[in-house]
Amino acid sequence: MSVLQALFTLAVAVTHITAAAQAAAAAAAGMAQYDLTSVLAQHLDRHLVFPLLEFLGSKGTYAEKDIEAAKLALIEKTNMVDYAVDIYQQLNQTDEVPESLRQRRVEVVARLKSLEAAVKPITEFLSEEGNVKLLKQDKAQNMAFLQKEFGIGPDQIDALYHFAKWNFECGNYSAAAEYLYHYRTLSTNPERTISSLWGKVAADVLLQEFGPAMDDVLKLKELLDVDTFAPVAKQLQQKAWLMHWSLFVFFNHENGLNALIDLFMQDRYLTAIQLTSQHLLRYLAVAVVVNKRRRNVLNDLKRVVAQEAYEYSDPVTEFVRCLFVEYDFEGAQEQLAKCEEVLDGDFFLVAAKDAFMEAARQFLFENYCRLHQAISIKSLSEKLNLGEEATEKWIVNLIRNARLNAKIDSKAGTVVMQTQTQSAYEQLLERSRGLGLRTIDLSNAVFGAMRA
Amino acid sequence: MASKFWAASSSDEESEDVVTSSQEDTSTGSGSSSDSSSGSSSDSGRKKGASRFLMGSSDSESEDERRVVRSAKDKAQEELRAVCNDIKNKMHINDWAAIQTLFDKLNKQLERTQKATQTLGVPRAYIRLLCDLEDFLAKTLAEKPKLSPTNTRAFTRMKQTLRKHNASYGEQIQSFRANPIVETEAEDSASEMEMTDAAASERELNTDEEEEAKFKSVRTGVVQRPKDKILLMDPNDITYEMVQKKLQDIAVARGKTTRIDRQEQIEMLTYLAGVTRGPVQKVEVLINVITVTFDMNQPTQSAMSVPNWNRCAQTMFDIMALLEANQHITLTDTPPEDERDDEPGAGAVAQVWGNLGAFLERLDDEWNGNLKALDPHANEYMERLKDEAVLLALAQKVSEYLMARRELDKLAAVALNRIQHFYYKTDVVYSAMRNLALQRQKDSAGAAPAPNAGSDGDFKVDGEEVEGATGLIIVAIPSEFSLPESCAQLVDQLARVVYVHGNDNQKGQAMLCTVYFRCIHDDFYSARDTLLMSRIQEQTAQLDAKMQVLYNRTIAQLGLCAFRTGLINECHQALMDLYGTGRVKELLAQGIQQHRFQEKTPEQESAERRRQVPFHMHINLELLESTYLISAMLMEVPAMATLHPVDGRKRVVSKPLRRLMDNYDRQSFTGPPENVRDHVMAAVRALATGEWRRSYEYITALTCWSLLPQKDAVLCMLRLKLQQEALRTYLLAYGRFYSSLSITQLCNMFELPGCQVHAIVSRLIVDDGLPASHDQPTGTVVVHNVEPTALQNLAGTFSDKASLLVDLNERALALRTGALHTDEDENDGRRGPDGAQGGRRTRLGGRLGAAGGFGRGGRGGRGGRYGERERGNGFMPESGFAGGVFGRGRGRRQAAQRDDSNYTPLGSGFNRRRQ
Repeated sequence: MSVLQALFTLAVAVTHITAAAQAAAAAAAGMAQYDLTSVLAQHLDRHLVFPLLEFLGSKGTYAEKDIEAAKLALIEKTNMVDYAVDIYQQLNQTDEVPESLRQRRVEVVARLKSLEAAVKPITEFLSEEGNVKLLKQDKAQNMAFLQKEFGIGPDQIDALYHFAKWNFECGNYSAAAEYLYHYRTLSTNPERTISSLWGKVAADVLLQEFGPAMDDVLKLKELLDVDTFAPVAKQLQQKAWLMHWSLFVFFNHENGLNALIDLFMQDRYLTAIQLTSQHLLRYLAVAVVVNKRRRNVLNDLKRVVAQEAYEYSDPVTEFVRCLFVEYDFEGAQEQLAKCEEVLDGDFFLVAAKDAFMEAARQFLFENYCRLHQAISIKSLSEKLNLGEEATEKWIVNLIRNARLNAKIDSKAGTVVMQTQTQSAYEQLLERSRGLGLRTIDLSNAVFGAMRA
Repeated sequence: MASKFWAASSSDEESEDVVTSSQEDTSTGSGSSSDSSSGSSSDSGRKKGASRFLMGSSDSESEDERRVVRSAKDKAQEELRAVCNDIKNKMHINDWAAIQTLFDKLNKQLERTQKATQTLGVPRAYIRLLCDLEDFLAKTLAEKPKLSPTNTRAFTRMKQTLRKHNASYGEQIQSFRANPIVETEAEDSASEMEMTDAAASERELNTDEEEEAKFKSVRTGVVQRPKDKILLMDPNDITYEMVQKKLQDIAVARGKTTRIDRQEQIEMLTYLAGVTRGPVQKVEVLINVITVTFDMNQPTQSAMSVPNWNRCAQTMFDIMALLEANQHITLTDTPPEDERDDEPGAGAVAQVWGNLGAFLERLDDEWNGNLKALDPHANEYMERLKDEAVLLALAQKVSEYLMARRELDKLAAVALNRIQHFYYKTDVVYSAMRNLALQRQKDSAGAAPAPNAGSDGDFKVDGEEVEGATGLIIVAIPSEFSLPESCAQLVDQLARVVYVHGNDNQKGQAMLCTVYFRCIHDDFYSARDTLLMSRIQEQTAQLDAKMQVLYNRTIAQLGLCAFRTGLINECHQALMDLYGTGRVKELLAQGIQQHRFQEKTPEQESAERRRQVPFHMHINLELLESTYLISAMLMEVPAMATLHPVDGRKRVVSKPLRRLMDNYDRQSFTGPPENVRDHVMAAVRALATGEWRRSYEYITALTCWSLLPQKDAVLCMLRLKLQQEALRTYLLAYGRFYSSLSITQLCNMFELPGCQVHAIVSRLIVDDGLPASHDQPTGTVVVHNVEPTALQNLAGTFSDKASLLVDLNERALALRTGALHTDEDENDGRRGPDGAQGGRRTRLGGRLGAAGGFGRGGRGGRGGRYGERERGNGFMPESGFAGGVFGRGRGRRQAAQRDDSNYTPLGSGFNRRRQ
């Protein structure tokens, strides 16, 4: 986990700063109230927090100065000294460079040089196109081969890992990603392999290469699933990390939301959410609501949200709870209005905002219709935040897409639902459907068994 | 001479135990001691105790002549002789079976005699008997008289045993046969001589100074004269070895239950404590004081007396002070192997045997035991309760000590002990106790020197006075003792100590205590989560009884807490298991319940008595019962309304409530409600028809609500719940009689805001399948209810049965082929949302475990419950519902049973005739 080791101190710093910022901004808007950055940061790597802070800075939720200070606190622990100097100067409005940073820079460069020297054999080996093809599947064989032909031993491979990490710390993500990739093909140390995979994911995310990142996240998940002998607390923590890190990927990848539902809805991960990071429910809820093809997981979401309502609630989960658990449409309406704001202020969700609002509105309407026999278009337009004309169009579209069995009574200005109650005959048919088939199966099985 | 003394002292109540002890097993000394002391009693008149002994000496002498005091030796010999005579008698009538048994008895008696006389020789009478037996055996063999089969068998066996037995006494028998003339008188005179000798020697010692000491010893029937010497010596002359020797004597005497006068030992020890040479020895002596006091009662039978308890506590404080002042002394669990013959130097490390944690625990147990024995409504109980402060102060001191010495496992035990004093206290109770403790601390700071003087000085005088003096000991609470303002913090802190250092059992207890504590502080969620995360509910069967009781109590509090928070479902789940068994009292250890069908063995009963919880920790059962029944009502009544004939699925939420309702229905006349059950039943009736106001009235009429500090809030919550549930019930029960209902009217009926009514109706439509929908423009609920015809109903049932048949067939096949698991999954899938939900719930275990997790609470309840069910198969109600109110109902039921039993033979007769 060495990529992550520095993580906790960082989290504390960020929480501290954002807490201060929150206090300052509390008066300004209710927005900071639902801001999860400080909570999320506890489960993220230092470098991954940068985009979040950048985003916050652009939104102006907090005072710019606080954000800059948070960035500085974050960066001081990394090796991105030049960047730190920039921020420092910006923050303090000076041109001078603090002595500590200057010294740090020298150290960092020296270390980088020494590591570079150590990994030289490998980098040379890797830089030649044909060489990589010489490597086989079997790692042990590779080791022997490298040792024999190029004089590359375990020490060099280890150095490669450290070099990659140092690069990562310096903000040189692409180099880090590449080295880590090679390290993984060469290394035989399982723990380091996992660790390097974490590093790879982080680097990919920061390079915004979400395709490879997605693959790596899934690989990482498989590795973690296999590792059932680790202490329970550690397993939980790693799952929480994985879920947090994967947010970057899922909300930027085209098929990400499906993958998010798949991952988060797995029992172990759902338990991890319930135990350690209930705030992830927001993302899960958004993913479920937006993803129309996954209606079947709605029941699970309802249950989890209702269960955790005492531990965590924000407009998104409240919306789900009001609509699906309480059937309180007015409440859901209110929450939905707040949701817009919340999604706007969330780094991950800002892109999904429109889709969510649309899908949520539709959910609301659908449920409303399911319970009603007649609804006046006027009240509906109020509920949907649309004009009457637009509402009518919207409904017609729904009806045309056969999602709704309804008619518009334009004279009375109402939508009339067709009653959906089943007649007794239908019920009977429903109940006895499949009996015959099942019996045939059964008899086949019995006679088949007898014949055999 | 002797009889005079006994007769005189018979006026004294203590004489009784003296008589028994001397008659049964006192050593040879006892005869002589009584002798000598009576001699002294004749010339003493100045002492109050002595003069009492003398009173009425003359008349009582004639009163019971039967009592003769003999030495144990005499007695043993006499018994031996008696057995010999018996055997001789049996020989006359040729009863070999009797002879055989008597012979065994004789041999045992012989051993006892040898012990009593402390000689290895064999009495002549015994040898003579052996000879006689041998002769008789030979004679019988020769004559061959007719014997019964048992006698013959006994005879042959006797022949063999005697041959073997006599071989070992061959010599004596020879010598006896050679000289059979020596008679019994010689033996008797010998023993007489011994006695007089001993008496004489005692008399020499009998000086004036020792008189009163002797009185004391006589009074209690034990002689410890040599010890008394030390009391008379100049304290400066007493050496280390002398004290050490006394200590050893006392230690050796431990465990021999009947003979020792512990009171006296304590007096001796307290005196010794004053004259010791240095702190190490003093600690040793004080520890001995505690152990001896502990020996004075049997914890399983009766609790320690209050003065003794106070003394122990005070001594503990003294020890603590000494240990604090002398850091080089450490206490160990195992007695040190090498004996010290002098007080070690000030700097040297000294080990002393003793376990403060164990002492504290015992003291705590005794305190609890004492409380259990007292009447909880009497003033004494309150007085005793105040001593808790002492215990707490002591515990604090001990844990400070243990912390300083890093004895962490013991520290955990002490911390747990302290938690157990706090976890059941509400804030009010805690602050009251805190104030009391502080007050007492202030008082004792003012009068600090007094009790010390009392504990040291007064003991050496006289037994009577000592008892008076010990009663006055008021244990001072040291000034360092402090209780923090907030109990929560303290409990939390202590629990942490246990979690870090304790063993599994201790951790479990500490966890349960914290959960309990959070419950009574209305912190339901964290309490529940802690409980669930511990996963203790999965292993309740393996816990010991004490912890099971704690677990049950915690669950009960969790239920109460959920109720106060308004979480009816959770409340019902928590309390369901407690009330499902009908033996709540037993499960909570708050009193002994008698079961009609179950005889308890005395051991079971005493075990149950021992695990009872003292009264001040009780959970109010009336409140608990009302809470349970009301929560059951709120869930059951709408559920009952749902199961109208359309689908025959019956879902019983609460069996006990159902049973109560059945009983209630069976009554011909129902009077106004009197107890909790009546009230709830009346409320159920009202709620079932949607009359929430009447239901609410019945509920508010319960008296137990006044026990809740937040009474108003709870009643408000109840009102709202009743309104909601009444609305649901009303719609479910009567909805099909309407074609439409106006929302505003419903609002008026149930006094609920419109949006809430809307939400409830919506939920009914979606979740409970109410065939209705809203009509938004008119603000009504339209019911589209199509009553199925009889044929349709039957067809529905038929299709259900058919699908059940196929299900079962599939299952049967799956069982055969061993593919049950996949099949089950399929089934779940087919059953749709319901089944899927069920599966989910189990899968999620940990968290939601709330649903099933609370279960398995009953201590041993399982087995018992099944037993009951089997027995109660027919007509008897479960024992829990044997309450007075239902007496009427039961009468009728028995009549019904009789009818039924008449019916059965009739039927069978009919069958027979047909055959």
